[in-house]
Amino acid sequence: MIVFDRVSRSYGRGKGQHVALKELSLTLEPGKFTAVVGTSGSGKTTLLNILGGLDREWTGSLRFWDQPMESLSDAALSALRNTQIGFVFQHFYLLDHLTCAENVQLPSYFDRRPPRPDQAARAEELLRKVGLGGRAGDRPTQLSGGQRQRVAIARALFNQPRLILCDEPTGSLDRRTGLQIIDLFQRLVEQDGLTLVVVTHEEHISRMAHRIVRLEDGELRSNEVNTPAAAEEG
Amino acid sequence: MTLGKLLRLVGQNLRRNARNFAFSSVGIVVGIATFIFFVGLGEGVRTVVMDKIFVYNQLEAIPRSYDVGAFRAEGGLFGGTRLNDATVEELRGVPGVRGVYPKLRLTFPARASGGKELMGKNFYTELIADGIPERVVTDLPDPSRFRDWEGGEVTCDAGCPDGSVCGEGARCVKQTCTPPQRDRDGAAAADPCPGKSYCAADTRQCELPIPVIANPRLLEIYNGSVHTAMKGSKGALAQVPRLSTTALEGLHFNVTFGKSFIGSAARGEPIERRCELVGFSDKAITLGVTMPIGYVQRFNGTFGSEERGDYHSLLIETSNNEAVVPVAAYVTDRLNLALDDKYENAQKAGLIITIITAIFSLISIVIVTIAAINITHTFLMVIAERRREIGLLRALGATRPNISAMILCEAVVVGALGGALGCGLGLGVAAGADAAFARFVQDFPFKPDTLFAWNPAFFAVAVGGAVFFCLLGALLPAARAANMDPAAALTGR
Repeated sequence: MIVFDRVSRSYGRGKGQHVALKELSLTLEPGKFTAVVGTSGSGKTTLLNILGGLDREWTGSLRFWDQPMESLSDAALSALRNTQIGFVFQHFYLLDHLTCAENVQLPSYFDRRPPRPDQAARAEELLRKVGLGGRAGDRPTQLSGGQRQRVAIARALFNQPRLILCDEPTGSLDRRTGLQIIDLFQRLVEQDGLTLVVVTHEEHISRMAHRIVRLEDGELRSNEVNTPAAAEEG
Repeated sequence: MTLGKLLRLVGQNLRRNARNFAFSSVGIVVGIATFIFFVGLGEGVRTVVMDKIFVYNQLEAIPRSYDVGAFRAEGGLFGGTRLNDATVEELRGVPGVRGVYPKLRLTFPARASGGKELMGKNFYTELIADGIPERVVTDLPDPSRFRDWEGGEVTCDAGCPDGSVCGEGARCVKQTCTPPQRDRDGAAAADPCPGKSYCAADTRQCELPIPVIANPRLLEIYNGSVHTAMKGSKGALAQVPRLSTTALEGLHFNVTFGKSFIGSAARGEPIERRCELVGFSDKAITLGVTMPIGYVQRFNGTFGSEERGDYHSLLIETSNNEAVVPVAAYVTDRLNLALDDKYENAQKAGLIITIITAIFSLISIVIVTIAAINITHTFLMVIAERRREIGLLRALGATRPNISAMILCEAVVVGALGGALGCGLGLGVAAGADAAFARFVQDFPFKPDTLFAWNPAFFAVAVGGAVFFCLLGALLPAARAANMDPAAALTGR
């Protein structure tokens, strides 16, 4: 369970101050797909950064499965990101000098738990799961946009996180490929019980979520339960 | 993050940014090469100057002299310690002293002639000679050849030497002989004495040659100066060969004791003796020859002025170069003796070499410091380029220390590689300088085979210094990368 309680975030000071989130209170259920929608500058990405522990300059309270994120040290927050949160970005952020399998294994570099003996095998298994079996040795530059995003998803899944945070995951993809990616996410939520939070400005993507959170000028405009549409319908 | 994973990440990053890092490490390579070159050169020159020219760890204590008006007075008259066996024993007990060797000079005129078998004709010269205890000369191929044959009775047990037979009381007795006559042309008939012995005109006995040693520096001076200068002369001198220790060992020459080209001894009738050069040693007098001290004592007793039996100088060998200064202080301050000019000259030369080496080392440090600034710029540039990547690593769980360690580790690798390459370049340039020196610089005394001397510590300091300066250069970029706001880095804010 993720609980936002009067979470605020502002940038700058004095007259130039911009409030990105205003006292947001929100609860996200585990094992569900939540879409965060809104126009540009509505605070979607700010919400995602705070939830992902990437941004610490906020006020209020945020509980991440009973852990108060506001009181976690940088090291504890790093460990939380490493083991419990997976990130998927609009521009994939794959390292071109590494192979797909190496990119997928990147989270293991910062994992303080004893190393798994089967890391390479797990990377290949995850690549198969996202439909890229046999491409483990390829470089990201050899892949299409959709394939790169699948590698990024495999990387997000590597440390078996509870929460996957996606910032415009289909923003750089064509509609068809984007729908395939969302379909993949839906399957992950259903099969693995993952909690998925997707920031998007695309309505057809948000219609596939269990909950749609709408932000406007940093404020919660609506928070609705939704009956997810199938990817094909989207 | 484990060290293995850190190194893997660093290796991947370095491979990706190889060109940037190669460019930025040029300064480190040049700086370290400069450092290695000049430190090696300084050490090489110091080795030649201190070990060959001045033999820094050998001090020669002499009586202190005082100028009183137009006169010069020596030693004990003004309270200086006498150079006798008691002083030798006292000095042997001083910490840092490895050995003390008394030296006694000939105190009367003498001249030498010989060298026909080497040069084709005999040469004549005033003879300067001194004596030292034979036991201190240990650096000869066969130290037993440097021996006082007249120093006591020789028993027959070990066999009598050439020219002696076993006589009464199982003691070796010299054979009597008739000196060979010379014909009208001055050529001598064959010597009647066996082996190395020869028939001495004054004793009419078979005598063994007096074993003498020479200083290797004498040979250096000959080969470096005399031989070079004589090349352009007329006649036999133009043919004088370069000489080596092995060519000279065993050389015989005649010495007239009690008479020279300048004058004659106040006492005694001049006598002629044969000498044999048995080797070269640092313990020998620089210009002249050195013989077992017993010969000098006896000759001085026959021909020399009346003296109270003190030595003329004491050769003090220290256990290492570090002990030279305290031992020198003991000699001058406690014993009120003087040290010969070599010590002062060695100190001056050592100081000059140290200053020159320090100046060039400083220049190399300036180069490396500039390189460190260049490293800072490169790392700042690389970090700016890798901003999103660093944000990504933070998102994937990297802590601030992880990011910092990654950047610093990259700097260590760049520094270590740059340092190693710098050492290689320095050695290469040094080898080139050595080759040029050997080819284009004419022979001179003490011309070394190499201008450089290497100590493993130089390379450790060079690579360590390169790593240190790279780390220094990467500190700011590492701190900046570690403190990067991951959210801002990922969103490009």
